[in-house]
Amino acid sequence: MKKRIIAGLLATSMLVSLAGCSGGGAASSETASTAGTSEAATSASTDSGETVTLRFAWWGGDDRTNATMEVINQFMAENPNIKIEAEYGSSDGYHDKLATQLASGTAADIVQIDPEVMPSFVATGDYFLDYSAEGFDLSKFDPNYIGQRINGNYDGKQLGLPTGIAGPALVANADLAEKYGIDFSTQYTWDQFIEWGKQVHEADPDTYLLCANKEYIANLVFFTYLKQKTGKTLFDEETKAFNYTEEDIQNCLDLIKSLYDNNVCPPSSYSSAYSNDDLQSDPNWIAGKYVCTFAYISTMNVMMAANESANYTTGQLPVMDGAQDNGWACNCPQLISVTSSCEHPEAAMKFLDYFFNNDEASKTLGCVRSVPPTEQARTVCEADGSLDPDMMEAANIVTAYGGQSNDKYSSTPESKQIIIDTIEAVSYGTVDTASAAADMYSQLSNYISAQ
Amino acid sequence: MTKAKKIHHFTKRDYSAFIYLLPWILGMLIFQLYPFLSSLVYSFCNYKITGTPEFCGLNNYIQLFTTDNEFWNSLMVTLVYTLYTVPGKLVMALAVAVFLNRNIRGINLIRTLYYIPSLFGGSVAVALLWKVMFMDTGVINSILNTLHLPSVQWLGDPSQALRTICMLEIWQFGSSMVMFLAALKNVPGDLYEAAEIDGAGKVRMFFSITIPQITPIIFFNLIMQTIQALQNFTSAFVITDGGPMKATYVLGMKLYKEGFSYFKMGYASAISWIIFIIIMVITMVLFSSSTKWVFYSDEG
Repeated sequence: MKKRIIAGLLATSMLVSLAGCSGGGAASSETASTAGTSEAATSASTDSGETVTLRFAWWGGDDRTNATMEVINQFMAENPNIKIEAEYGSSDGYHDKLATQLASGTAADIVQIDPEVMPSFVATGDYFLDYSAEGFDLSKFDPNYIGQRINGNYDGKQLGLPTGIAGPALVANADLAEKYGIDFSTQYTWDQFIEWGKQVHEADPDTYLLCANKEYIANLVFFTYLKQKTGKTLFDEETKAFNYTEEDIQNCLDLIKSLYDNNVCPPSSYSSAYSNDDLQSDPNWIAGKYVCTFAYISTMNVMMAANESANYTTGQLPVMDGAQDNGWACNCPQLISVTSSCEHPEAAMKFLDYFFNNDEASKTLGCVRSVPPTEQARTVCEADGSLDPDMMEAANIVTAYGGQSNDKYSSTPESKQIIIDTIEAVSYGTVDTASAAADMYSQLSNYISAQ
Repeated sequence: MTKAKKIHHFTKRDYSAFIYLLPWILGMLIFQLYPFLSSLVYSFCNYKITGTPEFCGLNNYIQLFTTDNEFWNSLMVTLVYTLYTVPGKLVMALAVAVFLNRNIRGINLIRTLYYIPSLFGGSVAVALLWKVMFMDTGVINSILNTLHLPSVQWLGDPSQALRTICMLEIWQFGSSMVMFLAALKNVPGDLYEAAEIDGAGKVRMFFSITIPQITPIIFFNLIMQTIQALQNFTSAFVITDGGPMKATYVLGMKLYKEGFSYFKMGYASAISWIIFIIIMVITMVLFSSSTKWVFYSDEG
């Protein structure tokens, strides 16, 4: 009997400790994925009142990390009384961790934020300082650019500054495009794009026109196509009304289905292994078996670097005949914000002034966070040779399209997940587009009514 | 027992024991009991992680059970996952333990080798390794192709993905195996001798002596593995991200997404309490059934 009691106690204690901390499992794996962060870094080592310590958190690859570290070192050399501790890692789980830190007041003093996640933080608390109120020199930024919500301006408060000019870009394998007689330099339609896709796959069953996964299809095809079709974004920001009808959505899902059915892009069962921002690991991309991809300007060099033997160019993006809006929108890749919990805002602003406005810093950073956000930085980088010509051209192309940015409700992770799940179901062919559209419409209606 | 004798127990030395226990007690209170209870409170609140909790009664639970179809899918996936992995792991662990329960040369090394996968536990690195191995272009398919067998979409096919994740869990049978091994060594040898004299074969001895003798350990492993399986998260998160088509979207994944991607902490807390209640009910059922099939030698 004694053994049974002991066994019972052991099982109960395990149950309580594990069930109670179910979220803990999530947190631990997420921490593991953001390797390299100095978790225990403490701010405010202002013991003597002279040395100020700031924490700066960002995500990114090696190039971005090395360039940012170099800028930090340059700044610290010039300002020995300000010490900046870097907290860098992968984008996996970055915002989960940031949300927890913001809620508990332990976020780094300076943080990099995805502009599409920013609205959910701004909506729930006063977590960021207003650059204008802190006297930051914004004169080098184009006021029209930083005045947009997506670029950090919320109700007249500059809560974040864009790290660059970004947006979607077409990355094309020039040799393959030429081989199949595809010309991306002039405007083309979605129908033309699908025809090219058929032609490519028929000519070589191992090759596809478009390298894409369900996330990219959602972010770059779904939103863009519907903006082109209706001239509106998914939700009306003021009234929270649904701007699309079920028929609009079905129409868009039909287009997406034809991308899969006509082998314009690889089947979902294949691309699911390279989900989210992992397209560059697709062995077929590395082997040069795609003619093009819709990428982001900020990461297009990563896609290009994955297959160095190919000759990549950029080009136009598809727009439907009679489009109400070009759909393809210029935005910023990330925002840099100073958190309200920062104890030394003046030191943080001083560093960011160096980060954004200093020529030396601009040269060092180059295009590691996409095309630089200010004219001055672009000029410096161009003269220095650190301005990536493909990125610059892609930025010019998307700026010329000038489509609308997504509304703040449609770009939240929850809304996007509904769209991604529906696209996945359509791509696997488990549901027809009419039912999928009805289901998506109902789920998105539930979602928006809870906002 | 007199009152004086009771007081005598609280000497200075007794208090010092509490001081040694203090780190554990504080850790338990702060990192386990407090989150445990606060999650109960939050489960009745509308609580965005960066906002303030607002009491909403049973709304989270009602929404989960009535309008959230994803919840029912996750529950089903979790139960299927548990039904695959727990028996699979126990059978595997017992089979290997029986194989290793012999005196051959280098047995200690072999036992260590079998235990290694469990040392990696729910590690992200092993899950990543699994992902790379089972990709369409991974090593497993390459081996199949070399043997002139067709490729299998281990992770991309919704009907196959959960089984692939289950294989990872079953592969990590080491800790159960070690316990089985210890239990096998404790089975009195004279029982086998007596059975052998009576003419019993190996199979008969295994089912009539070995299995009944190790039922307490089978029971212990069954409970522990069931609890662990119902809380699975890492493999589903790292290998398939809950997909494809939500085929591996276990409750742990749903909890994580709701809490840390959509920041709906109240809703996520409600899910964690439902997981807790499911685990508790299943554990109680297993405990109550144990009187019928678990044999404790001290009960004679």
